[in-house]
Amino acid sequence: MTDGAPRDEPAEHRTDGERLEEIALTIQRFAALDFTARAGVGPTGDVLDAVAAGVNFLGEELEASYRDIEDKVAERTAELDAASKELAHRALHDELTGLPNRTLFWDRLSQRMMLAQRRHSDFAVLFVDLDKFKLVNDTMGHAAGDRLLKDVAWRIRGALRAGDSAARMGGDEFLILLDELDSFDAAVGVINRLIDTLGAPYEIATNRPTVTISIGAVMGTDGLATAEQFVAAADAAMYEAKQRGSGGFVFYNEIRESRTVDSLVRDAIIDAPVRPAEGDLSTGDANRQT
Amino acid sequence: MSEAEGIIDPPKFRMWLRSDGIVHLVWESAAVMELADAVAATETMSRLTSGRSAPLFVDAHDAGSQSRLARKEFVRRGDLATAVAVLVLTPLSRMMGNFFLSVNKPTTLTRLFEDEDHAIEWLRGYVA
Repeated sequence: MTDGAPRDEPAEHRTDGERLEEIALTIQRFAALDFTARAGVGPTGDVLDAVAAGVNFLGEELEASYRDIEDKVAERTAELDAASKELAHRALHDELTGLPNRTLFWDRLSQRMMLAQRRHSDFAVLFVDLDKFKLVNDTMGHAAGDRLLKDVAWRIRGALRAGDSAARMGGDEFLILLDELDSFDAAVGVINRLIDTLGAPYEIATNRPTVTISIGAVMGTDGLATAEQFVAAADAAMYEAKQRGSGGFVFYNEIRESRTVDSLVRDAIIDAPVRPAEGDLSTGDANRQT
Repeated sequence: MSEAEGIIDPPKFRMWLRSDGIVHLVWESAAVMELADAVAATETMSRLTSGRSAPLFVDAHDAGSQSRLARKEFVRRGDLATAVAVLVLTPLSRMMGNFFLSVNKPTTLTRLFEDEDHAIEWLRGYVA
C-alpha cells in the first residue's frame, strides 16, 4: 500500500503492518485535505479496527467541519459581494429617488461626448428644475417634498426613451441625457412629454398638488468641451426659461451669444444664479412668475 | 422484518420490548451502521413503545463501524429514550462508544458498560 488508495482486500486478510500502513496513509490523505479517504475496518473489532474506525470518524468530522467552513465562507463572500454592490450603487445613485447621481451622470455624459465624433446621431442634455418646489416643503412639510421628488423621478423615468438617462443633481434639480436623437424635433418631443407628464397632479396624502418644470437644453456639442460646460450651459438655459416664465424650456443656442463658456461655468459653480421667487403651487395658473 | 413475539428483526439488528419496560437492541456482528439503519432503529423503538420514552439497552459489543450521519440520527432522536446503556466489549465498540459520548454529545443520559447485568440494573432506574 503506497498510494493511500482504498484496498480491495478485506482488512481481516491483511497483516497488522499492512493495516497500520493503510491507517497511516489515510491520515496522510486527511493532511492533504482529502477527507474521503477511509481505512478498512475488519470484523474482529480489535485495536487496529478501533484505530482505523477512529481515524475514519475523525475524517468524517473533519470533512463536515471543512464543508461547514466552506459554506460559511461562501455565504460571507456573497454577503460582502452584495454589500460591496450596494455601496457601489449608493456611491453612484441618489438615495431618495434611486436615480443616478451627479457623479454617474458626469461619467455617462463624458463617455457620450467622447463618442460624439464617431456617432451620426445627436444627443442633448436637459437641466430640469421644479418650479416653486420650496413651497411644497414650506406648506406641506419635508416628507411631502420627498414624496414629490420620488414621484417626479418615477415620472421622468417613464417619460424617457430607452437609452436616455436621468440623474438627480440635488434638491429639485434633475439632469437628463437624451441619446440617439435624429433631429431637434425629437428632443423637443421628449421635452414636451416631460413637461406634460410632470405637470399632471400628484397625490400626496390628501393633497393633489401640481408643479411645473423649467428646462434648459443643450443639443449637440455646440462648442462645449467638457461635461461641466455642458451642464453649466443647460443650467443657464434653464435659468433663462424660468425668467421667461416657469413651465417652459429654452435651448442653449438661443442664449449662447450672450454667455461665454467660461462665464457659464463660473456662474454655475461659483456664483449659482439666484432663482426667481416661487409662487403658489396649488394651481397650474399660479405657476407663472416674473 | 418479522415481528414474532414482539421481536423486530431487520437485517442489521434485533429489537424488542422487555417485560421490565426496557427496550433491548442488539446490533448484528460486524454490522456497519449507516443512516438508514439508524432511522430504522429509532423508528422501530418508537413503534415498540408507541412513542413513549423508555430506557434503551444497546448491545453493540461486536458491531462494526458506524457513519457520522448514523450517530447524528441517534442524537437527534434522543427523545425516544429516558436513558441509554451501551454494551461495549471490543476495542472497536469501546472506541465508538467513547467517540459518540465525547464528540456527538448525546442529550439523553448515556453510559457505556462492559457488563450486561450492570447495564440493565442501571436502566431499571429509568423505567417510567
